Amino acid sequence: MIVVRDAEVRERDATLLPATSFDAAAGEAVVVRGANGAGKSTLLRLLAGMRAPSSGTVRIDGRDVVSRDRRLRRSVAAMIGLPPLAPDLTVRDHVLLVATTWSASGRDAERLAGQVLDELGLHALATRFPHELSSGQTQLFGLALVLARPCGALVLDEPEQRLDADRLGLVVAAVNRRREAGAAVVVATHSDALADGLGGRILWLQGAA
Amino acid sequence: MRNSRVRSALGLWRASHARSASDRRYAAYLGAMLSVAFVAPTARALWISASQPEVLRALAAPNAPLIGGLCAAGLWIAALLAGRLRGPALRPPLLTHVFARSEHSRVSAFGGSVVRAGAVVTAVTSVVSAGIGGLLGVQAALPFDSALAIAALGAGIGVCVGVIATVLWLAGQALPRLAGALAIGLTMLVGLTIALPASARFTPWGWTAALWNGAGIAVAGSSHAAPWPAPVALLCALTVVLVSSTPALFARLDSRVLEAQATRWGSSSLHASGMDFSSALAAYQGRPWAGRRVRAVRTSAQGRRGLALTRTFVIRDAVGAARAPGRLAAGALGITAASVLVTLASSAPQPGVGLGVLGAFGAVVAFAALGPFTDGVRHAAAVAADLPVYGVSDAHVLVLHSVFPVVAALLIAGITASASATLIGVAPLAPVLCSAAVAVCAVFARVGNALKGPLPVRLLTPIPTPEGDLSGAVRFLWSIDGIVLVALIGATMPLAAAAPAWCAAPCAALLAVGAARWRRRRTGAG
Repeated sequence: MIVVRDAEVRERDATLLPATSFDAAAGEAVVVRGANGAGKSTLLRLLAGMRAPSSGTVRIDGRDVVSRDRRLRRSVAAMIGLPPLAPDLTVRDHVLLVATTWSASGRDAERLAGQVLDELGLHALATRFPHELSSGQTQLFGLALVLARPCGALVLDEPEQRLDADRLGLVVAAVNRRREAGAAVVVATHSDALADGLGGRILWLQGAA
Repeated sequence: MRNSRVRSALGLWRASHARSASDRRYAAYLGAMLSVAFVAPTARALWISASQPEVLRALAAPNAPLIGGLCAAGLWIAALLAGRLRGPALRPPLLTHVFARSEHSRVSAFGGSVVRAGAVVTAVTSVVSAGIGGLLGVQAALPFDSALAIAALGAGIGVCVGVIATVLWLAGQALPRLAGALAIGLTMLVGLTIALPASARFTPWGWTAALWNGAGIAVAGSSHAAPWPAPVALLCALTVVLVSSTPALFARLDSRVLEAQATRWGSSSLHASGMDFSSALAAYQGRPWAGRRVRAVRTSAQGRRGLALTRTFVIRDAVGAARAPGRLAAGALGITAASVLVTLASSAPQPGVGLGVLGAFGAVVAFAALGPFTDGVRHAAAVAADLPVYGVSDAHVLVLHSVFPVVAALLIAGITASASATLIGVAPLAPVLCSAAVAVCAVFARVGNALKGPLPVRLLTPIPTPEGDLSGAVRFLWSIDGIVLVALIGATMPLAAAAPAWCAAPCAALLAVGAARWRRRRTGAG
């Protein structure tokens, strides 16, 4: 499903991501680990189509991820930093709006939104506006927007940020549900608990140094 | 007023932020050049414009004092409300934090900044009042010394108005909740004095109006005694009472309010210095608070998916906007005022510079007032520059979010223009079409602004000319290009039927800029 072959990213004289190769099949999780600056986020940006590799290839479902065609948009759900939030919508409005644009019917959208709010424990915050959330709650909220849609590949950059152990458990369970449903999951993390919880293959990035 | 430890801390702060001698010389040079090239000619042009017979007649008209008094009341209400967002007791964020959390009294820590802010406000009000007094003297062809005396009286009134405004500004900062209620109460009182002019003599704005009226009687040399003493005494007494209340207001300044205002102002100033005016203003945007339990997103099982999505996004934008009701009401009033201006500009039998200015001003007001209606557009632009969130394309999301502001602007502008045209007795077709077109163009300008992104690096390149580096002017133009194009459209729209090319050119430029920004939305090179 995800095929990365000798993908390298250079910026003038600096190597942001040394040549890296890995595969992630449907229903498989790959946990990307490494020190700060090793290139984890850069690799995830390649998978999300936010930048092109300087050399090598990155393909998802046999297609080049640099192009942002509708099939690829449907296939890849990614969170690299917080997604843009609308200040005038509540948590529930946000999640339902995203689900509505991905679902065939209003009933499906309602069900999907309710399910995501449930699995991330956000029901109690459903009527809050983004500026009324703590940093950890905002992180969960961002994840909810990414999970409130179907995907063949799920790409997450340090989803454990600002989360306590209980909330991290909710995230692990939610991501594992997507993996079991057939999504290829790639997660960059510094958290041993998250890596153990996902139980996927570990891809260690050594950095250019 | 200020104890020695506060003085030492301020001295340290100033020393660490001191400019070098060459910087000071350059600032002095810049100030002198600005005074010679801009301030003096502008002041002269203003004086010449204000000395025109029609302006002098308007200043001496029977209802001019009342309008002047209402302007003073408007300033005081605005000062109360402004204090809730950005009060006069404001220092840089770090200093504010240190002083706000220290044992020092508020007067010693923040008195200096309040005095400076008040001096600026009072200088402006006294110069304006002195100018009006001087103009009244000119209108009556008084000798120089008599005109000077009237101008001095005007300056005195201006000092009182400015000092009262400063105290109310501080009151808004010290008592934010009460200030809101007080502003509403004052607004209602102002409405009452408009409905019942006799009641104005019990109000400070009525005293201000009475003094203006007295000045008018004095310059006219009427045999009736000018009604000076009572209004002067009352206005001065009010000023003294309010000034004596300032220590209590200082004591009520809350540390959290001081810190939040200082942080917001610091961040806003930083954005403004980088000519990112949208971000600078966004810091002061009212946050949503109402209707959180009203569902903004309503899914529908019926109808075609395209129509259902459009309906969903229109309702979502409408409910979202209504969650900050004050902001939405201000926006709707702004579009209404803009439509009245454009109607006036487009209903004149002959085009002229004055009408062009009126149309341009109307268009700029429409652009500013559309803020609460275009939150969805800004969100769509942010999504378009980021990873995909929605299950439809970026362009589709932008179009879906554009429906609400376009429909709302068309409705408000159309109804207002139609009603205004009927009131002034002209055929409504041209004003309605003009107002609607200006409103839609203002929405397009908002879309272009939302897609702008950060300042392109290439605009930082110096542009050396014999007159100096012009890159600053180019950057400034880039930062306000939407307003400039909308103003040009507003100025030329009334000519659309007679000379369509004049208005087609800025419209085409607006679309071209928007299209270019859309293509570069992910590179951030707007």
